[in-house]
Amino acid sequence: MLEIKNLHVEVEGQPILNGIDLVIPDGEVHAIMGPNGSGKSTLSYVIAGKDEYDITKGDILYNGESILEMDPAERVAAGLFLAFQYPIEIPGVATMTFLRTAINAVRKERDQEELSIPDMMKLIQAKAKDLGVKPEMLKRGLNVGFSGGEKKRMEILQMALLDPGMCILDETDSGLDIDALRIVSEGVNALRSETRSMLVITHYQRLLNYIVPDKVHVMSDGKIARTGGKELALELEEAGYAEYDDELA
Amino acid sequence: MELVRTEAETGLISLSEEAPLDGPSWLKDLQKTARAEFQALGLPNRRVEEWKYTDLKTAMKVAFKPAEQGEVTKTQLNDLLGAELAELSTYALVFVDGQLNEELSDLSLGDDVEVLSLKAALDGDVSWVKPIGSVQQNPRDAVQALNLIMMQGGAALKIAERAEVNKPIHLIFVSSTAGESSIASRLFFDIGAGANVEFIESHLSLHGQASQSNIVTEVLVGDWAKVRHVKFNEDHNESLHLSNVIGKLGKGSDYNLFQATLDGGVTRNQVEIRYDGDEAKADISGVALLSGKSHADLTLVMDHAGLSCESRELFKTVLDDEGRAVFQGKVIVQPGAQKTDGVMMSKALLLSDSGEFDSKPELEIYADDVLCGHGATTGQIDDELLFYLKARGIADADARALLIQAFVGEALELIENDTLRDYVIGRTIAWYEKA
Ligand SMILES: Nc1ncnc2c1ncn2[C@@H]1O[C@H](COP(=O)(O)OP(=O)(O)OP(=O)(O)O)[C@@H](O)[C@H]1O
Ligand SMILES: [Mg+2]
Repeated sequence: MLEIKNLHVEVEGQPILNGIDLVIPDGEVHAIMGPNGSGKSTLSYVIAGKDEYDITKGDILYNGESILEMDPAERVAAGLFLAFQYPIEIPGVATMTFLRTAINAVRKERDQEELSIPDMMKLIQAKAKDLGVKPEMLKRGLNVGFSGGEKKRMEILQMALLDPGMCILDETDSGLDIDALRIVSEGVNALRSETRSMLVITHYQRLLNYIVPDKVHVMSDGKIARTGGKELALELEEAGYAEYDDELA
Repeated sequence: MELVRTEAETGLISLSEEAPLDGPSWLKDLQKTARAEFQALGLPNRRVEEWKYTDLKTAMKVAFKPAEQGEVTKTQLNDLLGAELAELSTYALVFVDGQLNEELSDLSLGDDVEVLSLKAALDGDVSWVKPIGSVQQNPRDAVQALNLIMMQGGAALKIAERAEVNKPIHLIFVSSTAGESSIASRLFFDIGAGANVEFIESHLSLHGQASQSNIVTEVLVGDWAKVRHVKFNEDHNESLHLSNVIGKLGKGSDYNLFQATLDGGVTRNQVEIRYDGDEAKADISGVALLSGKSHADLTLVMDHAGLSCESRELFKTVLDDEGRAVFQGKVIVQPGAQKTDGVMMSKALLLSDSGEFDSKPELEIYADDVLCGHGATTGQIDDELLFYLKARGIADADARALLIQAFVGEALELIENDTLRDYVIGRTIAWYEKA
């Protein structure tokens, strides 16, 4: 369970998140929608532990414990996973090497046995196949020269491999064509379980037809402006965010 | 002009005066000129343009005495090489304190390869060794001059025309003495037209003591010959290693030199390549990983005289602590050397605030139809990349190591021999795991 309590975040003295309260119980999928610049990615980075943000007030608890003092790698071992809005290219780090390093690092932290290279290869190849990640991509530098959609699939592949308890997907649907959206959504749905929760950030209601959320939140100006059921996404698609912008004005 | 000599210079001058210069007549005159040059020039210092960033007057406090020839056993040698290198199937030429050691070396390299110790080359009446001392053509280089006077070890190798040498020739320099000592060695490679040969050069020390070495390698690359040369240095942190590789490339030849320097005291790898024939290509690349107060200088002159020649240089330097690296790369395109294609790139990654990287790329172009470019960058580990790796559960130190590996990897890829590349990669990983 993820609990965000009255979270205030600044960057270089500039307030970005202005008191977020959000609880995502085990097994639930929540969606966050909201205008550009409202702070959705910032929230996801703060949960993942990026250090350029100053948390001026509030707390984030995962399974009852504050994660604010944990470094990003420890948070991953604890079960948090962020699929990036803009996955980063790392030339010179072969994708396969990266995946192996990440999997074994996390297993080690979780007191699980490291996987042998053949077992690891089998695991990675099987999951890659499910998500339509081509074997050549595993040989290339991480994300180097991948198309926008390929990068997003790679994020979901990493998510599947690292076995998280809390998945945060930041605009995983943007840049995906219709088939890819279906494949990726199926990949995400396959990970849905009683013990795993998800926070899905998106601009499009369409994604939520595939990954049906338990709750939808509207974020505006660094706050949760409204919370509703899955039908809220449809309403937003019709009406846009004007209502919330007015609130700001 | 009154010259103020440093202690090291006084020492070197008296050593050079004691040098017997009793070689063949064709060499003696060159040596006499070199002696006069060295006495006039003294040790290079920062006021000499080519030595601006590597002041030998300061770096070399005293001149160590030439090493006495010591003993190294086969077991000691294998221990020094380590499992990976010992397993590499090569023809080993072992130089103990500069001298070719016949017992430790493989001297039967087949009909296509002739090996002579430097002494045998100079004492015998062998005509193919006569370019020794004159491939080197830089009259104002004090270090090369000194080597010519003082050289007491090394070897001359002749590779027959069209020879396909089936295993790499591993030149292993081992210093055996426990105290401070110096060596001056010279290698001469005469590579026949169309031959294909690979050299590995490593410098090791039995007692891990400070040493001064001055090594000059003269290479004549025959037309259409292909040469691969990987030089690996992991010297003591008070050692002084001065290396010159001077090559002349024949028509259509293909020459690669890769130099890896891990720490050490002061290292200068100077390379001078002259393209005599048309359509020759050379790749002079390398990595330097420097921590503590290690200083490594890569000074390069690529002199294009032939038509349609190609030069590629890629250097990757990683600096930790007060490590300091110097890159001076000059590409010369002589009048008439049309269609020259030269790309030179030097990149440094700073892991600390007190590392320093000085880069001086230069183009001197006297022909109009050429494609030459150079670039140099200095940067730190990218926080965005680091965060991405950490957000995948990889601990900070391991994430940094991956990024350093990725940075040097682009250059290490250029080592063609798989086993050797894995060995060098292994050493670089050990370096930053310790850093
Ligand atoms: N590191 C940073 N430095 C300065 N400003 C930042 C930084 N990170 C975020 N911001 C600012 O915070 C605000 C929220 O940005 P954020 O990326 O969280 O928005 P978002 O809701 O994800 O938008 P989008 O829908 O476009 O992805 C923006 O005004 C942005 O410019
Ligand atoms: Mg965003």
